[in-house]
Amino acid sequence: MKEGSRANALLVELLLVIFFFMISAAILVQVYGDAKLKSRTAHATNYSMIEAQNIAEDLYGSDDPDAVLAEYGFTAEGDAWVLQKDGYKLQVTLKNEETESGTLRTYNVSGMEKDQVLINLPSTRFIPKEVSP
Amino acid sequence: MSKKAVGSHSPRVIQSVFVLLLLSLFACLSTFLVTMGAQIYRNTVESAENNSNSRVMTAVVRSAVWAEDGGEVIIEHFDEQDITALTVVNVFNGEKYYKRLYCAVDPDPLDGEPRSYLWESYNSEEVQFKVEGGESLCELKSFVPSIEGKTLKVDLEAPDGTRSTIRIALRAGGAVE
Repeated sequence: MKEGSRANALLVELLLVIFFFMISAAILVQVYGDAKLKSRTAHATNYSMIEAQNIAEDLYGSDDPDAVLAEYGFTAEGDAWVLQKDGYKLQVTLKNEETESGTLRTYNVSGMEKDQVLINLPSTRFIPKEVSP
Repeated sequence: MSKKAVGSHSPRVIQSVFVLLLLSLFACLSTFLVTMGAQIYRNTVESAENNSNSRVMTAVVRSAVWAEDGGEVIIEHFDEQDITALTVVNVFNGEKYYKRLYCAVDPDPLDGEPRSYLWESYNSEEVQFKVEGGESLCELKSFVPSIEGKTLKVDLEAPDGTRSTIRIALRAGGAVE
Protein backbone atom coordinates (compact mmCIF):
# COMPACT_ATOMS: atom_id res chain seq x y z
CA MET A 1 0.00 0.00 0.00
CA LYS A 2 1.22 3.50 -0.81
CA GLU A 3 2.09 5.77 2.08
CA GLY A 4 -0.48 8.42 1.01
CA SER A 5 -3.42 6.02 0.92
CA ARG A 6 -2.33 4.56 4.27
CA ALA A 7 -2.46 8.02 5.82
CA ASN A 8 -5.88 8.58 4.27
CA ALA A 9 -7.15 5.31 5.73
CA LEU A 10 -5.84 6.34 9.14
CA LEU A 11 -7.55 9.70 8.80
CA VAL A 12 -10.89 8.09 7.92
CA GLU A 13 -10.48 5.65 10.79
CA LEU A 14 -9.74 8.49 13.17
CA LEU A 15 -12.71 10.51 11.97
CA LEU A 16 -14.96 7.49 12.49
CA VAL A 17 -13.60 7.00 16.00
CA ILE A 18 -14.16 10.68 16.79
CA PHE A 19 -17.69 10.48 15.38
CA PHE A 20 -18.58 7.54 17.64
CA PHE A 21 -16.80 9.22 20.51
CA MET A 22 -18.95 12.32 20.00
CA ILE A 23 -22.14 10.21 20.05
CA SER A 24 -21.02 8.45 23.26
CA ALA A 25 -20.00 11.78 24.77
CA ALA A 26 -23.42 13.28 24.03
CA ILE A 27 -25.15 10.29 25.67
CA LEU A 28 -22.76 10.42 28.65
CA VAL A 29 -23.30 14.15 29.18
CA GLN A 30 -27.03 13.53 29.17
CA VAL A 31 -26.61 10.71 31.73
CA TYR A 32 -24.40 12.94 33.90
CA GLY A 33 -27.01 15.69 33.72
CA ASP A 34 -29.76 13.27 34.78
CA ALA A 35 -27.61 11.97 37.66
CA LYS A 36 -26.97 15.51 38.88
CA LEU A 37 -30.66 16.37 38.64
CA LYS A 38 -31.65 13.24 40.56
CA SER A 39 -29.01 13.94 43.20
CA ARG A 40 -30.38 17.49 43.59
CA THR A 41 -33.93 16.19 43.89
CA ALA A 42 -32.84 13.62 46.51
CA HIS A 43 -31.09 16.39 48.45
CA ALA A 44 -34.18 18.62 48.27
CA THR A 45 -36.47 15.74 49.31
CA ASN A 46 -34.26 14.87 52.26
CA TYR A 47 -33.87 18.39 53.62
CA SER A 48 -37.47 19.37 52.93
CA MET A 49 -38.54 16.27 54.90
CA ILE A 50 -36.36 17.19 57.89
CA GLU A 51 -37.56 20.79 57.76
CA ALA A 52 -41.21 19.73 57.30
CA GLN A 53 -40.97 17.46 60.36
CA ASN A 54 -39.55 20.35 62.41
CA ILE A 55 -42.29 22.71 61.24
CA ALA A 56 -45.02 20.14 61.87
CA GLU A 57 -43.67 19.57 65.39
CA ASP A 58 -43.54 23.32 66.08
CA LEU A 59 -47.07 23.79 64.73
CA TYR A 60 -48.27 20.88 66.85
CA GLY A 61 -46.76 22.36 69.99
CA SER A 62 -47.97 25.91 69.42
CA ASP A 63 -51.31 27.62 69.96
CA ASP A 64 -50.53 30.31 67.41
CA PRO A 65 -49.51 28.62 64.14
CA ASP A 66 -49.35 31.89 62.20
CA ALA A 67 -46.71 33.25 64.59
CA VAL A 68 -44.67 30.03 64.26
CA LEU A 69 -44.74 30.23 60.47
CA ALA A 70 -43.86 33.94 60.49
CA GLU A 71 -40.91 33.17 62.77
CA TYR A 72 -39.64 30.59 60.26
CA GLY A 73 -39.83 33.28 57.57
CA PHE A 74 -42.93 32.03 55.74
CA THR A 75 -45.00 34.56 53.81
CA ALA A 76 -48.74 34.29 53.23
CA GLU A 77 -49.69 33.63 49.60
CA GLY A 78 -53.45 33.18 49.25
CA ASP A 79 -54.54 30.31 51.49
CA ALA A 80 -51.02 28.98 51.91
CA TRP A 81 -47.81 29.98 53.65
CA VAL A 82 -44.71 29.72 51.49
CA LEU A 83 -40.99 29.67 52.25
CA GLN A 84 -38.29 29.48 49.58
CA LYS A 85 -35.25 27.49 50.71
CA ASP A 86 -32.03 26.52 48.94
CA GLY A 87 -33.23 24.33 46.03
CA TYR A 88 -36.75 23.66 47.30
CA LYS A 89 -39.88 25.41 48.50
CA LEU A 90 -41.96 24.69 51.58
CA GLN A 91 -45.67 25.29 51.58
CA VAL A 92 -47.97 25.05 54.58
CA THR A 93 -51.75 25.03 54.53
CA LEU A 94 -53.80 25.31 57.71
CA LYS A 95 -57.43 24.34 58.14
CA ASN A 96 -59.55 24.82 61.24
CA GLU A 97 -62.71 22.78 61.60
CA GLU A 98 -64.99 23.84 64.45
CA THR A 99 -66.87 21.04 66.19
CA GLU A 100 -69.12 20.99 69.24
CA SER A 101 -66.36 19.78 71.52
CA GLY A 102 -63.49 21.83 70.11
CA THR A 103 -61.41 22.69 67.07
CA LEU A 104 -59.82 20.20 64.71
CA ARG A 105 -56.72 21.85 63.30
CA THR A 106 -55.20 20.25 60.21
CA TYR A 107 -51.77 21.23 58.87
CA ASN A 108 -50.24 20.11 55.64
CA VAL A 109 -46.55 20.79 55.11
CA SER A 110 -45.34 20.18 51.54
CA GLY A 111 -41.86 20.22 50.11
CA MET A 112 -41.74 21.25 46.46
CA GLU A 113 -39.09 21.53 43.78
CA LYS A 114 -40.32 23.90 41.07
CA ASP A 115 -43.89 22.64 40.59
CA GLN A 116 -43.20 19.03 41.58
CA VAL A 117 -44.40 17.98 45.02
CA LEU A 118 -41.60 16.06 46.75
CA ILE A 119 -43.21 15.31 50.09
CA ASN A 120 -46.48 15.87 51.89
CA LEU A 121 -46.63 15.78 55.67
CA PRO A 122 -50.14 16.15 57.03
CA SER A 123 -50.77 16.40 60.77
CA THR A 124 -53.82 17.03 62.90
CA ARG A 125 -54.34 18.41 66.36
CA PHE A 126 -57.58 18.54 68.29
CA ILE A 127 -57.95 21.49 70.66
CA PRO A 128 -60.82 20.80 73.05
CA LYS A 129 -63.12 23.60 74.18
CA GLU A 130 -62.77 24.68 77.76
CA VAL A 131 -65.66 23.31 79.72
CA SER A 132 -66.82 25.29 82.71
CA PRO A 133 -67.30 23.06 85.76
CA MET B 1 16.64 18.84 -6.82
CA SER B 2 16.26 19.49 -3.15
CA LYS B 3 13.34 21.92 -3.85
CA LYS B 4 11.39 19.14 -5.61
CA ALA B 5 11.90 16.75 -2.70
CA VAL B 6 10.60 19.26 -0.16
CA GLY B 7 7.54 20.06 -2.34
CA SER B 8 6.51 16.37 -2.63
CA HIS B 9 6.92 15.78 1.11
CA SER B 10 5.00 18.81 2.45
CA PRO B 11 1.37 17.49 1.87
CA ARG B 12 2.31 14.31 3.78
CA VAL B 13 3.73 16.37 6.59
CA ILE B 14 0.55 18.47 6.75
CA GLN B 15 -1.56 15.29 6.72
CA SER B 16 0.48 13.77 9.55
CA VAL B 17 0.23 16.96 11.58
CA PHE B 18 -3.53 17.01 10.99
CA VAL B 19 -3.83 13.39 12.13
CA LEU B 20 -1.75 14.17 15.19
CA LEU B 21 -3.93 17.20 15.94
CA LEU B 22 -7.06 15.08 15.66
CA LEU B 23 -5.50 12.49 17.97
CA SER B 24 -4.64 15.13 20.55
CA LEU B 25 -8.16 16.58 20.29
CA PHE B 26 -9.55 13.09 20.86
CA ALA B 27 -7.25 12.57 23.85
CA CYS B 28 -8.16 15.98 25.34
CA LEU B 29 -11.90 15.45 24.91
CA SER B 30 -11.84 11.95 26.35
CA THR B 31 -9.80 13.16 29.35
CA PHE B 32 -12.25 16.03 29.85
CA LEU B 33 -15.23 13.68 29.66
CA VAL B 34 -13.72 11.19 32.10
CA THR B 35 -12.75 13.99 34.53
CA MET B 36 -16.20 15.53 34.32
CA GLY B 37 -17.82 12.13 34.90
CA ALA B 38 -15.59 11.46 37.89
CA GLN B 39 -16.38 14.89 39.35
CA ILE B 40 -20.13 14.38 38.93
CA TYR B 41 -19.88 10.88 40.39
CA ARG B 42 -17.97 12.23 43.40
CA ASN B 43 -20.52 15.02 43.94
CA THR B 44 -23.42 12.58 43.67
CA VAL B 45 -21.84 10.16 46.14
CA GLU B 46 -21.00 13.01 48.57
CA SER B 47 -24.52 14.36 48.35
CA ALA B 48 -26.00 10.88 48.88
CA GLU B 49 -23.73 10.40 51.91
CA ASN B 50 -24.78 13.77 53.37
CA ASN B 51 -28.43 12.93 52.83
CA SER B 52 -28.04 9.52 54.36
CA ASN B 53 -26.11 10.87 57.37
CA SER B 54 -28.63 13.59 58.12
CA ARG B 55 -31.56 11.19 57.69
CA VAL B 56 -30.02 8.55 59.93
CA MET B 57 -29.04 11.08 62.64
CA THR B 58 -32.43 12.75 62.78
CA ALA B 59 -34.39 9.49 62.52
CA VAL B 60 -32.39 7.87 65.35
CA VAL B 61 -32.89 10.83 67.71
CA ARG B 62 -36.56 11.31 66.83
CA SER B 63 -37.46 7.66 67.26
CA ALA B 64 -35.45 7.39 70.49
CA VAL B 65 -37.33 10.37 72.00
CA TRP B 66 -40.74 9.34 70.67
CA ALA B 67 -40.32 5.82 72.03
CA GLU B 68 -40.06 7.15 75.61
CA ASP B 69 -41.93 10.42 75.29
CA GLY B 70 -44.30 9.51 78.13
CA GLY B 71 -41.68 10.51 80.66
CA GLU B 72 -40.08 13.77 81.72
CA VAL B 73 -37.48 15.13 79.37
CA ILE B 74 -34.42 16.75 80.93
CA ILE B 75 -30.97 17.87 79.84
CA GLU B 76 -28.20 16.49 82.06
CA HIS B 77 -24.54 17.46 82.12
CA PHE B 78 -21.92 15.09 83.44
CA ASP B 79 -18.90 17.22 84.36
CA GLU B 80 -16.61 14.27 84.94
CA GLN B 81 -16.98 12.97 81.39
CA ASP B 82 -17.91 16.40 79.93
CA ILE B 83 -21.03 14.96 78.36
CA THR B 84 -24.41 16.60 77.82
CA ALA B 85 -27.19 14.04 77.67
CA LEU B 86 -30.79 14.23 76.63
CA THR B 87 -32.58 12.21 79.26
CA VAL B 88 -36.10 10.83 79.40
CA VAL B 89 -37.16 9.77 82.89
CA ASN B 90 -39.89 7.17 83.32
CA VAL B 91 -41.24 5.70 86.55
CA PHE B 92 -42.13 2.01 86.70
CA ASN B 93 -43.26 0.39 89.98
CA GLY B 94 -42.05 3.40 91.92
CA GLU B 95 -38.54 3.19 90.48
CA LYS B 96 -37.06 5.77 88.10
CA TYR B 97 -35.53 4.67 84.81
CA TYR B 98 -33.30 6.93 82.72
CA LYS B 99 -33.00 6.74 78.99
CA ARG B 100 -30.05 8.87 77.91
CA LEU B 101 -28.93 10.01 74.49
CA TYR B 102 -25.44 11.49 74.34
CA CYS B 103 -22.41 11.93 72.13
CA ALA B 104 -19.10 10.44 73.24
CA VAL B 105 -15.91 8.94 71.89
CA ASP B 106 -15.90 5.15 71.83
CA PRO B 107 -13.49 4.19 74.65
CA ASP B 108 -12.79 0.79 73.13
CA PRO B 109 -12.98 0.99 69.31
CA LEU B 110 -12.67 -2.24 67.35
CA ASP B 111 -10.15 -0.84 64.86
CA GLY B 112 -8.26 1.18 67.49
CA GLU B 113 -9.22 4.51 65.92
CA PRO B 114 -11.18 6.72 68.33
CA ARG B 115 -14.48 7.86 66.85
CA SER B 116 -17.32 9.90 68.24
CA TYR B 117 -20.71 8.16 68.37
CA LEU B 118 -24.28 8.84 69.43
CA TRP B 119 -24.99 6.57 72.39
CA GLU B 120 -28.15 5.40 74.04
CA SER B 121 -28.25 4.04 77.57
CA TYR B 122 -31.11 2.81 79.71
CA ASN B 123 -30.55 2.48 83.44
CA SER B 124 -32.43 2.49 86.68
CA GLU B 125 -31.59 5.29 89.13
CA GLU B 126 -29.45 2.91 91.18
CA VAL B 127 -26.97 2.41 88.35
CA GLN B 128 -24.39 5.14 87.93
CA PHE B 129 -24.02 6.64 84.46
CA LYS B 130 -21.10 5.37 82.41
CA VAL B 131 -20.33 6.10 78.77
CA GLU B 132 -19.63 2.47 77.96
CA GLY B 133 -22.86 1.44 79.70
CA GLY B 134 -24.80 2.41 76.58
CA GLU B 135 -25.04 1.22 73.00
CA SER B 136 -23.46 3.19 70.18
CA LEU B 137 -26.14 3.99 67.58
CA CYS B 138 -24.39 5.87 64.82
CA GLU B 139 -21.27 7.93 64.20
CA LEU B 140 -21.81 11.55 65.24
CA LYS B 141 -19.50 14.51 65.81
CA SER B 142 -21.64 16.63 68.07
CA PHE B 143 -25.00 16.46 69.82
CA VAL B 144 -26.33 19.57 71.55
CA PRO B 145 -29.81 19.22 73.08
CA SER B 146 -31.76 22.17 74.50
CA ILE B 147 -35.33 22.75 75.63
CA GLU B 148 -37.27 25.80 74.48
CA GLY B 149 -40.62 25.89 76.23
CA LYS B 150 -42.47 22.75 75.14
CA THR B 151 -40.11 22.06 72.28
CA LEU B 152 -36.98 19.98 72.36
CA LYS B 153 -34.26 21.22 70.02
CA VAL B 154 -31.24 19.11 69.11
CA ASP B 155 -28.32 20.34 66.99
CA LEU B 156 -26.45 17.49 65.35
CA GLU B 157 -23.27 17.30 63.35
CA ALA B 158 -22.31 14.29 61.26
CA PRO B 159 -18.67 13.16 60.95
CA ASP B 160 -18.47 14.76 57.51
CA GLY B 161 -19.58 18.12 58.94
CA THR B 162 -23.24 17.92 57.83
CA ARG B 163 -25.28 19.90 60.36
CA SER B 164 -28.94 19.27 61.12
CA THR B 165 -31.35 20.64 63.65
CA ILE B 166 -34.37 18.73 64.83
CA ARG B 167 -37.27 20.08 66.79
CA ILE B 168 -39.69 17.84 68.65
CA ALA B 169 -42.86 18.96 70.40
CA LEU B 170 -42.90 17.18 73.75
CA ARG B 171 -46.26 15.50 74.01
CA ALA B 172 -47.10 13.43 77.06
CA GLY B 173 -44.47 14.03 79.72
CA GLY B 174 -43.18 17.40 78.68
CA ALA B 175 -40.01 19.18 79.47
CA VAL B 176 -38.72 19.74 82.97
CA GLU B 177 -37.07 23.14 83.25
